[in-house]
Amino acid sequence: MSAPDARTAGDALGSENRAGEGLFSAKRLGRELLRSPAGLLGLFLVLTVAGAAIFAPWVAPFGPTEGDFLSSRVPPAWHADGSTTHLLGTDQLGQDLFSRIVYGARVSLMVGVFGVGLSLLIGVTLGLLAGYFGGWTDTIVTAFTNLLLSIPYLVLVIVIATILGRSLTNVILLFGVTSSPVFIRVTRGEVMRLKRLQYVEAARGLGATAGRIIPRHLLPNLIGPLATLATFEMSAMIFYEAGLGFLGLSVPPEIPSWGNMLSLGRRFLTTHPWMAIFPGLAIAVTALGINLLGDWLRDAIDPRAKEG
Amino acid sequence: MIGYVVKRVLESVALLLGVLILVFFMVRLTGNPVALMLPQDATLEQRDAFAAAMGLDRPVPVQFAEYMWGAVQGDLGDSLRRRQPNLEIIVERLPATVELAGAALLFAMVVAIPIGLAGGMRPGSWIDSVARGIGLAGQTIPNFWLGMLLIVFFAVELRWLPAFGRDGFSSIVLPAIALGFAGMGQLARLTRSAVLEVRKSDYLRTALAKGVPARTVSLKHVLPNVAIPIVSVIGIQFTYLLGGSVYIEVVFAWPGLGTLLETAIRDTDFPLVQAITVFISMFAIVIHLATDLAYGAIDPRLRIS
Repeated sequence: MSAPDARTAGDALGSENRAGEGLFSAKRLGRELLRSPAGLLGLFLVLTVAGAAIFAPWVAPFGPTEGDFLSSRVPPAWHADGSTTHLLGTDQLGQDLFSRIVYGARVSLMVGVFGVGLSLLIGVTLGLLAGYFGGWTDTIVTAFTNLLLSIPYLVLVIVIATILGRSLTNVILLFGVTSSPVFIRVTRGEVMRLKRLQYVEAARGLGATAGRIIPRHLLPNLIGPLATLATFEMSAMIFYEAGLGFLGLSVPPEIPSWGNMLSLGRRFLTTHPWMAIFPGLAIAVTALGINLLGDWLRDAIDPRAKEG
Repeated sequence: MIGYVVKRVLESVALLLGVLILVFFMVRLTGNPVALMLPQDATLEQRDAFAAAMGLDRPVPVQFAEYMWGAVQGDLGDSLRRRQPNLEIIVERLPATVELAGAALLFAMVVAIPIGLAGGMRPGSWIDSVARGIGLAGQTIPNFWLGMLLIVFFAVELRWLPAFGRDGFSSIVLPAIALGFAGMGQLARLTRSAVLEVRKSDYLRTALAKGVPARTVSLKHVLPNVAIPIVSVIGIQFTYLLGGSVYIEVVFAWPGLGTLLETAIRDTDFPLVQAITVFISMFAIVIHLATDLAYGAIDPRLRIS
């Protein structure tokens, strides 16, 4: 059989698969979303946080490091000693907590988005290589995955962060690499399952090369499971970044981030608890938004996975 | 079964060796371990003297061989600041961490499993909403923040429980809740969805159809089948708790491995940091192996793959 034939035949078989791509049509997802209150709430929360991060200079009433010693440790506005100038109060340097939280969203979202992006890139590449080609590649990739997963994750992250030193790039690299094993596992497992399915075997039988099968027949089917995993990993990463900041191991202290604020707030926990409460609340709200959106996405992509 | 045990044990030994190698090179990731351990204003002479004293001026393969040879014999080196073998310091702190992780796991199981079971048996009911709510809360609330909230509320405002330290039963309540919270969420989700899965099975429908009472069905048919995934998650949870305890121990000034790691990092005591990492990973690998073997003994299907 000549090559052009293989191409058309492969596509004809692939069309059964492409019907499934309708799952990802924006129209269908939009309709689904309107019917899900939880999904809508998730989207609203995520957009709010993202909006705050992007438009921080316009949203925040003060600069993130604009301190006024005369108004340090002001409690939140609804407190008897509070003032409406500082909605959520101020820290020990007189910096406005609300403004710092708004700017802090930038660090969290950058770590979440770029960290997950890097993890996806590494995970999908290695997972595809291991799952599709098997053999030695698979042995090495699997050994690497198991090894990274055998060290308790938070300990691994803390130790590497200590060694690399405090910078945003380092934090993103750190989470991108250490979170990749989960993406490798999911991709590898899916690819090993998919490559035995008839439509892939048929495409291969008709002479399609790996360079054609992987992007056309395998990758589209990976979008569903990877999208869901990516949302949950993103909220986990935002947690872990804040945790590192809390220990004083994430971005440098002069950068306003939720973790750095928590680390500072902890020192004033018994006397000025709001300094730790509000940045933590920002993390919880962001994580809630991402998780609600992720739950909805999982159900929308694979209705069988629906819980209850 | 013997083949399965041998295979799993060998895999674990390989992982242990892998961890040892990884940690050795991790500390040398920046290429200069001396710079990590000394203050920035140390002079060149001080650096050289330090490197010589620590044996860091020798070729890396020699250092590596010595490190591996020591580790295999149970020698994890000496602490930089404390002038004491690392293993000795770690073993001293281990009970506090195991106690905390155990209490957290217990808390998670006691709350999550009954609620997850009840929720899964009656989808859509109020108890099911509680189960789903707990599941979501566990994923959304950072444990170190929860710990601080618990301190503010129960220790500072209400003065019911101590905020810091390890002194009797009352001191473990708050840290155990904070540490176990995420696991509780995960377990509730898992139990619930496992029950939902079992409910769809033919054998359950048959049991109900032939008139077996609902309570008997729950206990004899649902629970054993749900127990298998739960046991495996508990093994994974324990590993997670060992890591998560670093934050919680710092929040509550709990004198375990977590606070030890934090102080070691602050003191730039890298030999100790390295030893703690190796030790915790080793501990996790052994627990994982034990769960897998227990699991293989319960469920013969697992021995094949």
